[in-house]
Amino acid sequence: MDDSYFNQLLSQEEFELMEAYLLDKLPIEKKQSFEARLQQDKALAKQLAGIKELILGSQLNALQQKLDMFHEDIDSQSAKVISLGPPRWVYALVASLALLVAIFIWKQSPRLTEDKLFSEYFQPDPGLVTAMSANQNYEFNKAMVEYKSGAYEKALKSWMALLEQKPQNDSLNYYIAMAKLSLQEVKAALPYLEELVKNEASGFHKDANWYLGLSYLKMARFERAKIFLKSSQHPKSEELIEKLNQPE
Amino acid sequence: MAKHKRLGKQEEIIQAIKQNDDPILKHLYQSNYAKVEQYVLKNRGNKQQAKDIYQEAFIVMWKNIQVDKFVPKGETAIQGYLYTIARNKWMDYVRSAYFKKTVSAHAEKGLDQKLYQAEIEPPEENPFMHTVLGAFSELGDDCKQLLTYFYFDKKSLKEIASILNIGAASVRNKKYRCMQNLRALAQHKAQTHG
Repeated sequence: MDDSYFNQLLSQEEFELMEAYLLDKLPIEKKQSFEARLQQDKALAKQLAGIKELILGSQLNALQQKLDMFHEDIDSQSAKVISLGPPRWVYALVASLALLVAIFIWKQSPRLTEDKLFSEYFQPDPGLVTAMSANQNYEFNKAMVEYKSGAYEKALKSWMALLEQKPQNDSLNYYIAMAKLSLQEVKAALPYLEELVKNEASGFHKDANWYLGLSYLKMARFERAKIFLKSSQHPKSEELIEKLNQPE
Repeated sequence: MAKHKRLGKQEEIIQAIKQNDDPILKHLYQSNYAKVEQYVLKNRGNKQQAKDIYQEAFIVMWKNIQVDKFVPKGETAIQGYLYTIARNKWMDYVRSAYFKKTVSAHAEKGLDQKLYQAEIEPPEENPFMHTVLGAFSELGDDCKQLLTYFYFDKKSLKEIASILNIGAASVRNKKYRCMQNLRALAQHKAQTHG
């Protein structure tokens, strides 16, 4: 077996050049220069092929682990299925009725754009009740007062400083996201909300899913939006998902 | 505020798959499994085989999307593509298993009798991939995690540095060392197993 992919020494600089080329991160001039070298240097081309396999192998390993995790959820969900229930014809009847209702509603209400839907459904979190006293939460509470009075930029400045000391703090992540959403900085809010949705134990978990769904809705990423809206179990999530499912 | 480009449903899913977007991959995986399981069980397979075939098909779909080999046509193109790959893989397996035995085609009434067509051309399998996957499994946990963060999760050096609580330059150097380790392990395996 030809193992010449791997048997030459490779400096960090050369490795990173090849990696950047494979990940399409090279500026155009460097890319063209590298491609010219590849045309002339077969050994370089083989090295590149080897790096490509290593990167793909890393990705495939991660993907396989993900698929196993996804499958565990399927197995645990099907184990919870209870065999008792109404006969199948009842489900078919309910589905038919639901379809008729959905068609009726669809004919009555035209599809709204992502901006209009976001405006209709987004209500910023009102904030926490605060007691201003000289305790360890003073800075957080002071920023909360600013947030509640609409001074989002000021609130963000304080909270971002606190977040540097406590990057995993769910209250900080949540209210920073709320402040950014209130400032219409939807994309900037994403990392904070995504941090929260990973933490099922957080008291903000469901709300974070709702706001993350709304954020992706605003960005017109409807499929992603629907996933988070559904996970939020918000009273209005089904209604909003139904609107997103209406054809344009 | 900048207006976001609205992608078609299939286009959005494809972009998400290319970025290894976890919620989208999970949703795609979980929402399409039942149909494949049903097909395999109906055609003399069992649940374990259904899972294996489905995961192989999912990986083929993922690979083809990474290299822009799949162009969606229609609202459920990706789902249909995934199902077709799985179905064809199962047919491949069934035909190789059963046709080598004495059971004739006429006796296989339970099987899907539609003609097998090479609708899906799987990406060329590189013989080194098994070597590389084996080598990856022998890396230390910290290298596995770092390479996963960078190449699969597509996190930046800065993001990884924040997670690992080290500097971005350290992440960069560590990544290089991990890839060197992976190369060495793969070379050793290639030489050992020929």
